[in-house]
Amino acid sequence: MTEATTFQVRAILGKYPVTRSRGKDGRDRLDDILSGYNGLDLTIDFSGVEAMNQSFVDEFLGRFLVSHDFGATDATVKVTGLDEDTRFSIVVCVERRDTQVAILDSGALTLVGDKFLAETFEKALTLGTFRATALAEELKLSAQNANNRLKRLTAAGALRKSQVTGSSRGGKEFEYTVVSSHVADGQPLTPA
Amino acid sequence: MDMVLVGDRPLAEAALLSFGETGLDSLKIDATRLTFACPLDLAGIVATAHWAAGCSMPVTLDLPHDQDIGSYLQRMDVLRQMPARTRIAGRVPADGRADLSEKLLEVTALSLRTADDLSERVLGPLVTAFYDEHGGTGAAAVIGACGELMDNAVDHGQSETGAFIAIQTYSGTTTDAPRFEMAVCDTGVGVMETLRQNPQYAHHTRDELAIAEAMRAGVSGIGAGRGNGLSDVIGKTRQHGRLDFQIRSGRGEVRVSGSASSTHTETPHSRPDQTSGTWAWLSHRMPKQE
Repeated sequence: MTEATTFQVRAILGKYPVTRSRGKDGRDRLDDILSGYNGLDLTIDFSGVEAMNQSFVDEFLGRFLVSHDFGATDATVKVTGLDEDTRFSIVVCVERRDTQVAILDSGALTLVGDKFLAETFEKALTLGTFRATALAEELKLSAQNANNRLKRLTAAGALRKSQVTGSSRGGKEFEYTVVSSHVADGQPLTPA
Repeated sequence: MDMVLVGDRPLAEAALLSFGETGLDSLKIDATRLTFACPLDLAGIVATAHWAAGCSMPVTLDLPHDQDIGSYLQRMDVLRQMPARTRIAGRVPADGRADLSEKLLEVTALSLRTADDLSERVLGPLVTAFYDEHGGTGAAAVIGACGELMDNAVDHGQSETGAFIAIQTYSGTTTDAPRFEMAVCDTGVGVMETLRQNPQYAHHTRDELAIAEAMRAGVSGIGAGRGNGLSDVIGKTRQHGRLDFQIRSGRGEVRVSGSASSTHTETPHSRPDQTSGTWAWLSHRMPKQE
C-alpha cells in the first residue's frame, strides 16, 4: 500500500528562500515525512518559488537526496513546479552532489543527473512496469549492468522495486515501476 | 581611529581606517566632505561603528556639510543604526520619508533569524519589481547572488556585533543604464580565518589571496560539497548584465568585474587598513536597451 504527499516549497519555505538555515529546516521536514512511511510517493513542488540561491537548494534538496536510499523504504521522489531558473538550480545541485532526481514537467517525467541513468530512466518510462531482463534486452546491456543501473535509480527514488509473487523461476524476482506522474494534494499525511 | 570619508563612494574606492589623531581609544567617522554614498559606504559606516563600540571605543560621526547627502544618510537609517551613545556632530536632518521599499533597503541589521524574512519581505519583491520595470532578465540571478552574500554573512560572519545590509537601485536616468547595488558588511572572523578551518587551506597568511581562493568554485572552509557561493554570485549575475563585485576582509580586497561577453578579472589587493569581518559589495548594471 503506497501513500502520496506533496511538499509545497512555496507555502512552507517561501517564495525567495536564500539561506542554508531555511534549507535545513525544509530538509528536516522532508526527513520527518519520509520517516513515518513505507512506500511513500513524495512530490517536492517548487511552484510559486520565484528565486532561490544555490546554497539553499543544496542544503534542502541536495543533501536530502544524498542522505537517503529511497529504495530501502520503497519511497519514490520527484520534483515539479520548476521554471527555467529554478530548474537550472536543481540541475546544478544534482550535478555537484553527483546524484539524480526525477523531474515532472508539464506531465512528462525526465531524470536529471548521470546521463546513462537518464537514458535508462527514459527507456524505463516506455516499459512502465518491467523486469531487469526486459530492460537489459532493450538497452543491450548485461544483466549485471542493468541491475546496477536499476539499483541506483531505485535508490534515487525514480523507480519502485517490488518482489514478484508466484514466480516460476527460482530465487527472488523483482519488477520495477517508474515513479508516478500523479501529484497528490499538499495536505499533510496522517501519522503512519 | 579615524575614518575620513571624502568625495563619492569613498569606502568603495579608497577610504581608509587610520590611527590619525584619535589613536586607538576612539573612532571618529568624518563624513563632512562626503558627496555621494553607495550601499557599501552606508553599511560600512555602521558596521565599523558597531565594531568599534564592541571594542568599547566611543564613536563620533561628523555629518556631511552637504545637506542633501546628510539627508540621504538619515533617509537610509545610518543615524538610526549607529551604536547607542554615538556622538553625532553637525546638523541632524529631518527624518521625513516616503515608502521607497521597491527601490531601496535602508541600512538594516542582518542575522540568521532575520535573513529569510528580509529575503521574502524585501529583497525578492524589490529586485523583481526593479528588473521588471526596466526590462532586465537577471532578477532571479541577482536575488540568488544577494542570498549567497546574506547567507555567508549570517553563517560564516557571525559575531556579537552582527552584520548590516543596504540596497539602492538607480534608474539610469543620469547614467548609462539601470543599476542595482547591495552591500553586506559583517563583523565576523573574516574570510581567511573561515577558510583556514579547512586543513587544505590552513596555509593561507594573506587575506587577499585567501579571498581570491574562496572565490573559486568548490573552495570552502567547511568542505563537504560546499564553497560554490561566491563563484555562483559571479557566474550567474554576469550572464545578465555588467557585474562589479568587491570583497574586502582583514587586510585584503578582491574586485571582480565582468559581463556575459567578457572574462571577469580578479585583482587581489593588500590594504593598508584592517576590515574587521567581511564586506561584500555587488553592483549589477543592466545591459543597455536598444
